[in-house]
Amino acid sequence: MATPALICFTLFVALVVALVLLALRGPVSQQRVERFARRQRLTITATNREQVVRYLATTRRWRVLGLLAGVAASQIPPVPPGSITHLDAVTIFAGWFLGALVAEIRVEHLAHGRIRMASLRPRRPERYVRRFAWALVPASAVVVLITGAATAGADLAGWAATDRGWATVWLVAAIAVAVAVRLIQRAVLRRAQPVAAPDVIEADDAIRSRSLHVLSGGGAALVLFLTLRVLDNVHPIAPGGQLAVAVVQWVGVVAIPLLGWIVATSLWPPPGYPAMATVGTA
Amino acid sequence: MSAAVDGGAGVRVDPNSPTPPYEQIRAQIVDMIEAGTLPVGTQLPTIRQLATDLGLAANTVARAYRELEAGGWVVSRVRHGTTVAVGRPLPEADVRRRLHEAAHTYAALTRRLGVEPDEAVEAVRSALSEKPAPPEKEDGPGPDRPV
Repeated sequence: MATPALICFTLFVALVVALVLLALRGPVSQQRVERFARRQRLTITATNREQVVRYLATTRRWRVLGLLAGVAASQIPPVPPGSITHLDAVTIFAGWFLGALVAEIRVEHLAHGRIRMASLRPRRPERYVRRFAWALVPASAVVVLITGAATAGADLAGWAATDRGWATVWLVAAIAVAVAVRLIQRAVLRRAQPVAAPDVIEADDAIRSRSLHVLSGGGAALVLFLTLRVLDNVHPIAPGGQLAVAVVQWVGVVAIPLLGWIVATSLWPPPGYPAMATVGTA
Repeated sequence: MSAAVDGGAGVRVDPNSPTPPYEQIRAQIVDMIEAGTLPVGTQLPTIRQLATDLGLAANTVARAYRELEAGGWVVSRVRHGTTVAVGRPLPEADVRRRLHEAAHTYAALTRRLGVEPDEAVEAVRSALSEKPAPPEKEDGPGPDRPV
């Protein structure tokens, strides 16, 4: 390798390492805290600021680690051979999302006091996300099941030649992701919320809401991306079949990230709604 | 004992109390139902939610809920969770005793305020003719297994 190229490569690697270290260990910027507060319509106070910062630091650390794992995994030669770029994008995104899932497990809970106190108000998903967003992951699982059934039907009818082994692998992976996301969403809802100061409870609700948004948007996107991988292994024989599959894939490649991004970053409570009700008092 | 919580209610458990935690929970919920803080039809949190929030084992909260159900204070239904039951009839003697206690308290208050007996009786009539406030409803099934 020529010397200037080596220097450029070394500088690039050093820059990446510095950025990763900053993401893993660096302070959470005021802009990130403000963006979180804006999305959740949360008033940051001296009491709840640390709580929000800890949440943002934990999620950033694990998402970056997941992203790095995804980038590393994407360098493994693609199996099955085929659309390398597509596989890479899904692998990198899957890595990031795996990090996001781990982060939700690692997020700190509110501590219990000597005297345990709790609200008797049931915590329901519609308090934290839109019904549409809450239903998105199960709906995506239904889509993947329908795709699987249609693929099997077309294969049996002789309308398409399907790589059954890989189609099954992606189908099972998509269902596994949907189940894992749902379980973690429920765990997020069940996170302990002992009675505390109103601003601490508001921040806890905001954190819970943001987590559910990211899991809904990211989870649905990953399940649908894996559904496209099922379609990658279907080769229609019927006239127009290949075009139909290609159209679905191209629409999916554009629409899925858009849907995931919109859901994951949407404001809660929506504009025009009152801010999240305080559910606990000191 | 209970903590008023923004239109809802709360419970507190002292792990060092000689009263078992399940009994502390049961007693407070009964108090709140009797006081009207938890009206008929109010949905209680799932066993898991309350256990997690209080840092207790799920069995402890489950036992409190079982005792409440056995006592007729709450009902548990699949997909509806646990809700405050329609008031069960108290024994006649208890009803009379409570009525007299409440009447004595009210009479003492009217005397302290210097209210005439006719006016005090009229205030009671007026209060009795008012409709009770409907319970706070939360629609849709919860994310957890109904308790």
